[in-house]
Parts: sequence; C-alpha cells; structure tokens
Amino acid sequence: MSDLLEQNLRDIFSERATQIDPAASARLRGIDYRPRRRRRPALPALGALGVSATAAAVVAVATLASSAAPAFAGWSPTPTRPAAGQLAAAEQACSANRGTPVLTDTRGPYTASIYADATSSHLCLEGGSLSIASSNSGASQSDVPPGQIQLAGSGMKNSAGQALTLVDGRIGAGVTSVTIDRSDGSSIQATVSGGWYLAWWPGTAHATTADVTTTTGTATEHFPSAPQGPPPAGCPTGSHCSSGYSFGSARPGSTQNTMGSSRSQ
Amino acid sequence: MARAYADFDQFVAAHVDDLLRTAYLTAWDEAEAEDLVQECLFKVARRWPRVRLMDQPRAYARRILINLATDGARERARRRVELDPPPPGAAERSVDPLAALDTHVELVEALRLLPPRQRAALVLRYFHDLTESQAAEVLGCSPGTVKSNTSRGLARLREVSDLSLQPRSTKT
Repeated sequence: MSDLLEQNLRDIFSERATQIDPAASARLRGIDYRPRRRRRPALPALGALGVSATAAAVVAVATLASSAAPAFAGWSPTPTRPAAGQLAAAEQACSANRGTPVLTDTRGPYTASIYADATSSHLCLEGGSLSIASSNSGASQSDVPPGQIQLAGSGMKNSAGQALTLVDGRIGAGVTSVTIDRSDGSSIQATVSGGWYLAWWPGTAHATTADVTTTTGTATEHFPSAPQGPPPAGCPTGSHCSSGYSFGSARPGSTQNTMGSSRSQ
Repeated sequence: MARAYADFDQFVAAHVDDLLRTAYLTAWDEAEAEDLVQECLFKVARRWPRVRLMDQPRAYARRILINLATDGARERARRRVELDPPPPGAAERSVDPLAALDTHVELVEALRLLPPRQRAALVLRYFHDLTESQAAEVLGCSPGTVKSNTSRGLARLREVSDLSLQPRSTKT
C-alpha cells in the first residue's frame, strides 16, 4: 500500500508541476533582481518630498530616471488589481521590512505603499523607472475630525520633464471613499485603507478639491494652493536630478508650503 | 559589483523553473508560487557574491524558498483573502460528492490541506527524489525531522487513500 501511495504521490506532483503557466516562468526571468544602488540626497533638499500630509520628513529618497519614455506607461486613474508578484516586488524594492502596509495603491505597474504606526509613516512608490521612498513623523488619526481627511500633496519633476503629483494623508472616522478633483478638470479615485488615503498621477496638475464620502453623504474639501510657476531651479539637463514641492498641512486648517530641489548625481 | 553578478542571470535562467515547480507544489497556489520565487530570487541576489561561491547555490535558493513558503504561509493566506475573496461556491467545491469517489482527487485535496512543512518534505522526497539528508539540508533541519514530517504527511494521505478505497456506503 505504501509503495502504491508513494507512486501516486509522485504522479500527482509530476502532473501538477506541468500545470504551471509558462508565462509565469517568462515573467520571473524578465525581472532584474540585482540590488539597486540608491543615492541618498542631502536631507534638507528633499525634505519637501516626504509623505505630504506630515510635518517633518526624516528621510526621503527619490529616483525619477530621466531616460524612461514614455513617462509612466500603464498608469491608471483608478486603482487596479495588482498583477501576480507586483506587491512582493514593490515590498522588496522598497526594502521596507516594516510589516504589512496599511495602504497599497496599485495603478498599472506602479505600486504605492504606506507603512504607518501611531506617530510616523513611510511611503514607497515603485514601478517602471520610478522609485520614491520617504519617512515622516506626523499627525495621528485622532487629529483628523470624523468625516474629514488631511489635505496635503507633493509634486516632483526631473530634468527630462517627467513629473508626478501625489496626495495622501490620514482620514477621519467614517470616511469610505475619496475622489480627487484636479486643476485640469479631471478626477482621480484615491485608494482608502487602514486610516489613510492616497492618489497620484503623472504631470503637474494639482489637486483642487477632495470629494470625501461617508455613510451620511459626500462633502467637498479644498486643498491649499500648490506653488505656482516652474519647478525649482538647480536641475541641469542630463543629470539624475529631481525637484519638488509640497503643499498642505499636518492638521486640517493650517497650511504649510515648502519647496525644494535636489541633485542626486 | 557588475562582475560579482555576471553569472547571476545564468543561475536564474537555469533554475527558475525548478524553483517555480518547488514553490507551486509547496504552496499549492500558482500566484503565490510566483510571488515566492520572486521574493526568493531577490534575497538570493542580495547575497549573490557569497552564494555563488557555495557548492550548491540551488540548494541554498530552495532553502530560502521553502522557508518563505512555510514561515509566511499564514500571513500570505490572510492577505490573499483580503485582496482576492474566493468566488461564490468555492467552499462547496471541496466537498463535491462526485469528487469524493476519486482517490486521486482526494489525495490532491489532502495534499493541499497538509501543513506546509510536511508538504515541503514530501515534495523534496518524492518530487525531487532527495534523500532524507539532502532534504534536511534544504529544510535546515535534522534528517530525523524530515523523516518525521514525511511520515506524518504520508500517514495523513494514507488515511485518505484507505478511506476512498472502501465501498462508498461505509464512508458515512
């Protein structure tokens, strides 16, 4: 009986091993697993690029490769389901090792993750040529009134003209969904999870309002104005360089606008 | 750094299918298997300058893979449920009375339900045909632990196998 069982077991394993989708192997072969070298720019320069809803950036590392074209291919204005392996790849690229993210936002091949505890947060945005990481200390959920959200955002642009804008923050109790209206008239659906919301998009259109939905209805909140004009100087063409700004407040009602630029090479 | 990684691509090309099969049979889920192999290869890549000097880099990669599969199985299962709730009726399929007549199907289901560590031992012993000592090296445990995990896994499968060979009327 035992020999028969063992033979059945071998047959089952062999049969099952042939059922693997060949595309999975191709996908795994196509990944670059080699460790990335990350250059850490001076803290004051990229301080403005932290998780935007918080007051003090502790560490920020941003890479927006200038050679990628077209910029942000596959990005989606509504969150998408992650592809197989996408979340693990993002977690690995983020080198987070911070447990489970409180929020994961996937838009095509791009994955944004927020790791947070009561007083600090860490944001990663990975995919394609994009790699952004920042750590911050900031407001706790109890700071945000029920039914409201922290209104804050940040933007960055590299020397090749690729730009992105990101809004995120903690949400008050009862918030079930958030839609961001932009200065170009279009809307972006934010991901809401774990006491946070997040949305980002290619380009420099800034967030104007947020439609915040709770079980009792939808209210509109207005973002503070983003800095106007061209991005900060100091980013020569051809260098791996990023510049950015942030807007918003650690607590609803107050406003903080900062701008900065950084050169990583 | 580039020189240290010159042969890493060859390692991936040569062993990714083996790792994928091992992950699939251990985790029993194709999407999870792909995640596991990806995570495993990222870990191997980080340590490649040292791993490439080992006698058996593939055994080292298998060890990482199976540790990932067995150590994180519960957490991944929880996350997967959150991200991808099972379709309606999925639970009912596992108790399909027609499937219950088929020993093969029951063995497959019993394999799926085995603790990951026991299933990993069976995969190494009966799919990769490793000895208990070789399997122990991959699993990072003693040959005795491999023997015991294999024995417990087989015992559970034998129960299912014996049961399904009995006349259907005696099963109720």
